[in-house]
Amino acid sequence: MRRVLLCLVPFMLLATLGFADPISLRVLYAGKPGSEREARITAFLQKHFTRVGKASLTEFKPADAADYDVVIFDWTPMAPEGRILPQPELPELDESYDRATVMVGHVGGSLGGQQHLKLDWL
Amino acid sequence: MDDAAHGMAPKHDIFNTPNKIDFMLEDRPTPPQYRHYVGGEKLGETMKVWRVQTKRNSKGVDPGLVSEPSNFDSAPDAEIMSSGLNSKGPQSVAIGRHGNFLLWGFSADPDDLTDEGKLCLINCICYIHKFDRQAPLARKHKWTRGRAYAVAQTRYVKDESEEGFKRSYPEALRREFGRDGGKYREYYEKNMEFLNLTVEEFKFPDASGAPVYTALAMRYWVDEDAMAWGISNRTIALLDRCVTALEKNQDDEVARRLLARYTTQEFREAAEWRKWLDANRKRIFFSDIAGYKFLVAPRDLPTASP
Repeated sequence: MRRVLLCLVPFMLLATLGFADPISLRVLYAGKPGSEREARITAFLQKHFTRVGKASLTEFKPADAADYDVVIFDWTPMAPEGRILPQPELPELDESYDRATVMVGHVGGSLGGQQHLKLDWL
Repeated sequence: MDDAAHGMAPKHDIFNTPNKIDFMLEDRPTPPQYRHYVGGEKLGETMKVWRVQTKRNSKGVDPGLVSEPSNFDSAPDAEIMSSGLNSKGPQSVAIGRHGNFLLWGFSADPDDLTDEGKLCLINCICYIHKFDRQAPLARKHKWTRGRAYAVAQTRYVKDESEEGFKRSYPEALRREFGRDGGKYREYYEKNMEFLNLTVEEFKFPDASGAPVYTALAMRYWVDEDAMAWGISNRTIALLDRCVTALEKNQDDEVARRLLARYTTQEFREAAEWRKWLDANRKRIFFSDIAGYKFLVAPRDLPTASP
């Protein structure tokens, strides 16, 4: 019995990491168009969710999220070569924006500040 | 923030649904600066952490983001799910939610996440979907702080500049406690349920004494009206007591002062206050960050009282 369980563990992990049925959510990734990070993250999302779309963080409009369930705001690293790059322009969102949203890393600080959230730069 | 989480809320959905997260904890040296923050005094030489990223901060992997934990006070639609190794304090927020927004503070892309980190990110995406169309109930004033920071800031008392010291503490307290941080800490901890915050401009004088630079003074003070009644200024019991006082014509001067201080309403008659309170009881909550006020949510809150 123990041997059977041990054999099952790798398959269970594989199932959760990409070989199970995708989760029935439509996810819009709003990041830096054409970047390697965008390609990596959307490839990851496509393994797990039924529909994944792409948008530009800087040009995002709330209407872009109309056909999606969750929005992810992200950008490329701020300091890829050790020096800090200019931060991206933030999308213009007012306080009526209410779509389910995940903010990743430094974008969370900037956007959280713009939105007057509890979630912002410490 | 670095590559690992700690202080996770293990029963939270983001660690259980749809993927059960198996925290493979490892020991890391406790960051030295944690000692100076609330919650850091009792930590040992090492602490248990859960590695979320396969890479630490380096070229190509930014430091992650953490948020101030004290701003989560009294928030019916905000929650802290996890902290993470960071350059501030042990309670800083690495994964948290405010309304329809979820912060995933880790910066690595999925290729540089551990398998369990990937699963948790998936869970976070699923979890925040529950809060679609639920914008935050209260927003931060441009400059504000939750009351828990009153205790956190006392670690600076001894070494703070004279200007910073004056900007942070009311004059009466400075006279009474001087530069003894422990006394401020004890005072604020004892009176936590009666704290309020005043934010005002502070002029730095030059050598001639003329004001040349303006900054903000953010000073916590104890509400002696609420303290005299022995009722926390962030519980709806305070509103009940105020309205009852007006109805009975007892302590109505204090009651009107408190209602003006902590609500955004301007009713004159007790009956108007009663009608407002009863109609909104399930939606009233208190927010430090929105100006130390009772606010009315557009929908019923998960609990009957804040």
